[in-house]
Amino acid sequence: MALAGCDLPRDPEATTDHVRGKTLIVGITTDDEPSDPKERAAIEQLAERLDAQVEYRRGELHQLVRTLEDGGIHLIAGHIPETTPFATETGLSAPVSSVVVDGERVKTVFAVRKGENGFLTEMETAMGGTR
Amino acid sequence: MHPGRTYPQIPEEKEKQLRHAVRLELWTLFFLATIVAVMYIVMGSSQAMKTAWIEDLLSFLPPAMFVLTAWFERKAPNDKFSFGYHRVGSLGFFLAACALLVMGAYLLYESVTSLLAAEHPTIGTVELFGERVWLGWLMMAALAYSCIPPVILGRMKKKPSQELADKILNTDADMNAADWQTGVAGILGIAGIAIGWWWADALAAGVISFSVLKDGITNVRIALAELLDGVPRELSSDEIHPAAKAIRAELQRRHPGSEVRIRETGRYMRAVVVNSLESQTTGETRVQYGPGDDDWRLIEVAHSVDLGNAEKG
Repeated sequence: MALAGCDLPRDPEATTDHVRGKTLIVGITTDDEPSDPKERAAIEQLAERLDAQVEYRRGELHQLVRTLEDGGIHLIAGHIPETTPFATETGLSAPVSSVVVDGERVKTVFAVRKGENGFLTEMETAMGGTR
Repeated sequence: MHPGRTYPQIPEEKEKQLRHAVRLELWTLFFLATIVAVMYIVMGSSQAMKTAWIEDLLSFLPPAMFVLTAWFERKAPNDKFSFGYHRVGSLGFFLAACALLVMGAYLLYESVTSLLAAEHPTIGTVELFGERVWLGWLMMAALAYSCIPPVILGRMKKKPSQELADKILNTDADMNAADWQTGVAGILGIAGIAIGWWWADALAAGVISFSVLKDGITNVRIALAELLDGVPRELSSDEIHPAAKAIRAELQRRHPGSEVRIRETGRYMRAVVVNSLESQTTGETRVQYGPGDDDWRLIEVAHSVDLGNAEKG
């Protein structure tokens, strides 16, 4: 909080500034909003922290990643395993929740636009409040 | 620690300097281990830190080769290694020089590819004492720590490397310089990332890579000259060593009309006086000493000067 307060790190593409006081656009693949209560809580915390409205946008995952890379959406949610192959195209948050895949429990994360370290720091700080 | 201190005998003073250098390198290995551990902890998924970490792993090679060489090179000659083990130094130097070269090339490659791909480094947070802290700050602290031992140890190695004519030690001092420079570059790079300059890290690494690459190429050239029985070179340039020039001149003065072959095996020099540089055994000598079908392989038979001097025995 102390370090986040001094405005560093910043985003190269200013995601935090685009969201603050406006709309947090969350990409999602399955339902209209994440089925995982922890994920929903984390998103709501982040929106509150940045004084923004949450808007969910449903889409196909590859399309969502492309849109994320262009800054059209701000994060992707919905049981993304931390071992996701999209780790090279996106930035991954700290674990939010977990899901069982093939009988094994895997931690899940949010995907953000690469290099938006200020936004990632805001998000992880907000998530801290939900645990 | 010293299986053989017999071959060759070196002056008491050099013996002492060698022991001092071994201690320096053992300290280097110890501090490197702590640096590698600290960097691993804060590395996270950051590609930039991974690069710095791999470089630190490469830095193990020169000090390890030095300690190995100091331990091995003066074992007494035996039936299987009739020249002794001096060439352990040549081999160690070649490997150390390669480590430096690989490090420079790797730095440059990582830098260029991440700049071309416009790779935006993503650095998240960790929980520390109940607070969310940006990992970048911890990385900067770890990098700052990684700079301190190499600066001090690298400076302490320069003088002994001259006194002992030790190329591995000299290469290791270069490696230490590369280490602290990449550390500083890394700090600047992450500071850049903190203010939103995604390219800062890669650019800083690229700038440093040139000096590392230059040192690596110079050292590999010297190492190759040594492996190819070249005339002894200076410690950090491809120029012929003044001592080698002096020995050659003196031997030529004493044996007018002759040529001198001179090479180095590890830190030691060997000279042979010959009629011309193309001299080789005659057919007659080959038949005399040669082993039948393999006699064509015997191209030189030399007598050591001291063999003739009874008082030196």
